[in-house]
Amino acid sequence: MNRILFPQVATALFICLTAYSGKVVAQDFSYASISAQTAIFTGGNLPIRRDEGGSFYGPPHWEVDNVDQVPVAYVSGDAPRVNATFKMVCENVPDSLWIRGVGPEGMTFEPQEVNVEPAGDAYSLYYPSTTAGFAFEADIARFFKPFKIGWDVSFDGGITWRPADTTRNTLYVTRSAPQPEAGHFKWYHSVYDISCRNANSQSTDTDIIAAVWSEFTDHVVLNYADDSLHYYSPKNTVNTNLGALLNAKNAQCYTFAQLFLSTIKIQGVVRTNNYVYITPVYSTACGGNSVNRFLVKNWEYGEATGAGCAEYPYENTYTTLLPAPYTAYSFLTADVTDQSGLPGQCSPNPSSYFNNHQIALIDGVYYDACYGVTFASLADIPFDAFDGWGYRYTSGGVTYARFTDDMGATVLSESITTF
Amino acid sequence: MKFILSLIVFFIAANGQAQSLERKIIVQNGQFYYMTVDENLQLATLYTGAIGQPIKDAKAYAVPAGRGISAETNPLAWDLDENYLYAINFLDHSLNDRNESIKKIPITALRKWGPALQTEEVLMESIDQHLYQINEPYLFVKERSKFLNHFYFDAILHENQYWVAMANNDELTLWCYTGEGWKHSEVIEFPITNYFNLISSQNKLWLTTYEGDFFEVGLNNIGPKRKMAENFGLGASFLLEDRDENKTYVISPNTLNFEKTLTETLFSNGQLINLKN
Repeated sequence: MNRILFPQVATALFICLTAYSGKVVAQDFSYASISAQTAIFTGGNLPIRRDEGGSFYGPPHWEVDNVDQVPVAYVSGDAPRVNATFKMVCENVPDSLWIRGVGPEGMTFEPQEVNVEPAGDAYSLYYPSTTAGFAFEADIARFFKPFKIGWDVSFDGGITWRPADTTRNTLYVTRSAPQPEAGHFKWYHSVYDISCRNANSQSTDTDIIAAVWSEFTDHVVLNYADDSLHYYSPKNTVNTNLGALLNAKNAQCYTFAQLFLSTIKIQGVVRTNNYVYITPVYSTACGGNSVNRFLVKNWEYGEATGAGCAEYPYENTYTTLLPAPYTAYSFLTADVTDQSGLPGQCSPNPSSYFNNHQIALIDGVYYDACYGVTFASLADIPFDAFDGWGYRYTSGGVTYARFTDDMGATVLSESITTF
Repeated sequence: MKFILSLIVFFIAANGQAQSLERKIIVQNGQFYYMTVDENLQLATLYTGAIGQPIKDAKAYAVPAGRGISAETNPLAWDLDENYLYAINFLDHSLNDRNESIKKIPITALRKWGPALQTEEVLMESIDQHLYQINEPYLFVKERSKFLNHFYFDAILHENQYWVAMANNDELTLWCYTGEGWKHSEVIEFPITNYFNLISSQNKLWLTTYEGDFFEVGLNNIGPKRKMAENFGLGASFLLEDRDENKTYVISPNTLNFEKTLTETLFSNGQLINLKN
């Protein structure tokens, strides 16, 4: 139906819209009386979980007056599909008019004739679900922040168009279909955001991995809202899974390895045996105590005062290792003291006294996302990143931790699983 | 994802986190005991009450042990006797030592959850909790392979000894701590897809798989596959060990009514498994 409006109606409408816009210069008018109310993306868009609590976002993806709009995601090669509703305020309205959407990079949503329906003291318009004129380029990750659709209206059957309103959503395009959710890997908002933001325009596995990794190398990892994600800041965090990191924005080492791997998996990059749990290989020292602690740089060694175990001569004692406000270790006595050393993500001096640590293993390279560094081999890690090995025992309510700075005293073991 | 959904999600605790019933309910001396684990905090809670009282009246005790979740989640391996709770503390924490994860905790030392008891305090207690025995089954698995794939385990008391069954890379090994040291079976080729349970009944030790198959196991053999209960699988049911009556039941979680007593639930919905033959 390509109906031409009656000239009288068109004239009345022009006057109405011009007056309503509050601008009296006719050459500069805009159709301010037509405003977008909602926009809903369909056509195979991917589910996205909120960082806050993990529930899925739902439609509408864009809604007038909302400060925070809902993110949208597609797999490359797919074309977005969208429907939208509009509100029209005017005394004289036509039976119908034409609406089209103009997206980024020449992407268009073809003109549709829509009916003008009464809705209280105004009118409503519904732009039906329409697939974009072309799909996102196949096999390439993209990041649109925002993905703007300029909505135009026409009163003369599509001969002339005027801008009406613009909807804005963050839109992610993954290179391939994301890996299925499993365990802690879930399709969180920030997983999409960090991944697509860094891997924008990348295509190959290698390039995507390298691009995503760049988020971690400057020690500043930002979530979808540009908030910092902290590694042990403060140090008393009990968060050990990806969801908890994204929700609380502060977590232990498990989570940054999970985040890094998630940002790869969301692009459909498949790497098995990618999650490495490292801990000192089981061995015992003086008195049969397990050597099961290590110190991450930097720790300063003073005079060794520990008695009875020459191999681990340095002794620290404590009752409450991390008292409030949880920013520093508290020792009763200390031969070894924590110094600023390897900075962690958004954390200049994170926790550094551990039994275990988690890193990613991809194509033979160990990626430590907590510190933004890589290692060529497991054997390199203690010499590059540690300042000591230790064991501990408790007696009379006091924990005695014994250390050595001989990095050859023991080695790391690794347990590898698929995240 | 599929597996996580198949865990028996038990209820939503006050903090809003889903909690799962961990493997089984034990009835002992007229009391019932079951465990849940908070999926986020990872810590376990032991619930106990009289079998003649509504289940909802159970008291909740904080357990300084727990487990994490992963794509291949292993439910908490736990058991108890008259005085002690045994648990393998595999919760994720940068100070928790998996080699020292087998804990033996006096039941009387458990504290009730309440405002005065902080999660962080219980977590640190779980890390420094004195170990029962070094986890040699885990060290053995790590020695055989650095890859953990289909890595599952359970541990129970059987004939007054502590038994562990641990599987990885389609291999299963049975372990027994005799009081003087560990003994273990040969490594058995045993493809496994999900977690399993150990069951002690009479003088026999059984392993039941996620799919509901039963095997009699020991240090010297593993028996043939048997079906002991209809429509049973660990993903859709849990076990109830009535040690007072020497009986083992299968119960669907859907039939567990917290307003009723466990006795009523068993009478109306429990499926008795004959493990004597």
